[in-house]
Amino acid sequence: MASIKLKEYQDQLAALFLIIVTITFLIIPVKLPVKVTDPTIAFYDTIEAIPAGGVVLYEEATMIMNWFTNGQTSISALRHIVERIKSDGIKLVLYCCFDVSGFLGMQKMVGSGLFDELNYGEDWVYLGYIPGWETTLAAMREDIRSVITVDYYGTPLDDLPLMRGVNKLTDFSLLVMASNTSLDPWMRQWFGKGVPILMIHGIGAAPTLHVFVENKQIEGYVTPIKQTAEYESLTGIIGLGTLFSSVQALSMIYVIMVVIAANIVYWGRKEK
Amino acid sequence: MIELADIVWPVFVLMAWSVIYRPNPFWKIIQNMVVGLSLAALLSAALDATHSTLITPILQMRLYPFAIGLILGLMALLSQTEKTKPVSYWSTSLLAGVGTGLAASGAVGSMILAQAVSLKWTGPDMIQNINNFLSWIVTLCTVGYFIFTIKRGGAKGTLWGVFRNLGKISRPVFMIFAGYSVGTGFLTEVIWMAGPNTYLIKFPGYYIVAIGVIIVIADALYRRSKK
Repeated sequence: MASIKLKEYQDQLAALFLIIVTITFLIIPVKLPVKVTDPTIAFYDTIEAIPAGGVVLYEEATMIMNWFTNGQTSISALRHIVERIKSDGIKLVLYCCFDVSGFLGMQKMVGSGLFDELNYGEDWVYLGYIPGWETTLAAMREDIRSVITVDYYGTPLDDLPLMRGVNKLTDFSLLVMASNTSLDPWMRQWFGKGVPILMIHGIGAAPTLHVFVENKQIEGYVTPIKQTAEYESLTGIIGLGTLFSSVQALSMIYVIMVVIAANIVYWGRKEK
Repeated sequence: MIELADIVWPVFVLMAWSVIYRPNPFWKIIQNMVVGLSLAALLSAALDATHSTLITPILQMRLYPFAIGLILGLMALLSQTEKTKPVSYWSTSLLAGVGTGLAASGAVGSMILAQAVSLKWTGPDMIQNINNFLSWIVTLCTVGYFIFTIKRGGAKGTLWGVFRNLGKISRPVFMIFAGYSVGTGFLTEVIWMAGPNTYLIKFPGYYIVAIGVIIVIADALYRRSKK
């Protein structure tokens, strides 16, 4: 009887134990060694190399559902940029032209207090959501004011000190794209303008991103969790990426055990 | 000071997790709430964007190009009646055409020419040479798969036969990458699940978890007593 019940609830039990395992490692964090890889170093160095007064164009298109994965990578990169704004006076223009889900992710990021210590309009500008994706990217390449004339708060762009003299892609010192959708539109519209490009994307896109780095189309990239932990170790600003990196690695022990056990049980039942 | 979000997030997370115990009204409520809240957020963002990227520039008398956007948008709304539906296709077609043109012109430089680099097999780094050789093989095999297996059985002839066989090699390569995608996808999903748990382990989340556990135990005892 007990075995029948166990069979009936096996999926729920496997999921429940995974939740318990992750909660355990969230409560009791285990510090694992971090080996920093080349793309992460390149990403870090590129942000460090932005000249004083240089303007960063940052597309925050991370869907809200990826808040705890790509979102944390983006937060780490933005924290690094904010530090450079404070120390060297670089500038930031933040926007999203991908879709509403990306816009919601960006809204949450803006609302999380990341930019509270900066002077709005001088240190950073928030353009909000500009619909159109690739057509918007193409238009912004030549003339930002052809797609938007006011910032998110309704202030005309010409009234913002930062935006004076900034109207096309080549007016920026660095382009950063944070997304978890197809990265092709950014590559198609940003590449070849002589402005360095950095990308933040899901782990699944790593092979594609690696090709872009090898061909010198982008300077570097960071993917969620493990690589974010590497990046946080470089910046010294430890966030959720480092915590999740150990949770992910240690949870995999349980997952592998479940996979092995499930196979043994499956073949055992098949024999009967 | 406790903020509303500190209470709402753990409650939402527990309502979602409750399906592990059994399908229940909390689970159904959160399912419908996700749809409702998503639609509300979509509408709000769409109205915001319409205001900042369309209405404001037009009010500033910048009719070109913003009035064109307004006209195309209004034309798209004509899809709501059968009689005017064909007119709505014009704006869709125009945007699709512009989009395809932009994508095609951008792709040539960034995704074809920039990536058409010759990988050497005779460099000082032996591992890199092997990697480059594998890249050649996999590229050829994948091209072979997509071009020369267009129809069932492939094209006839010895030359096409060579490419057809290359296409066969590409299948295990696809499988390797499918495995990579599933593996990395799962790694990400573990954090999709672990992330919301961060709301449960801090104040006042753990009190809400305790209430949730009491509800589950009470329900289990009640159901047992009814049997």
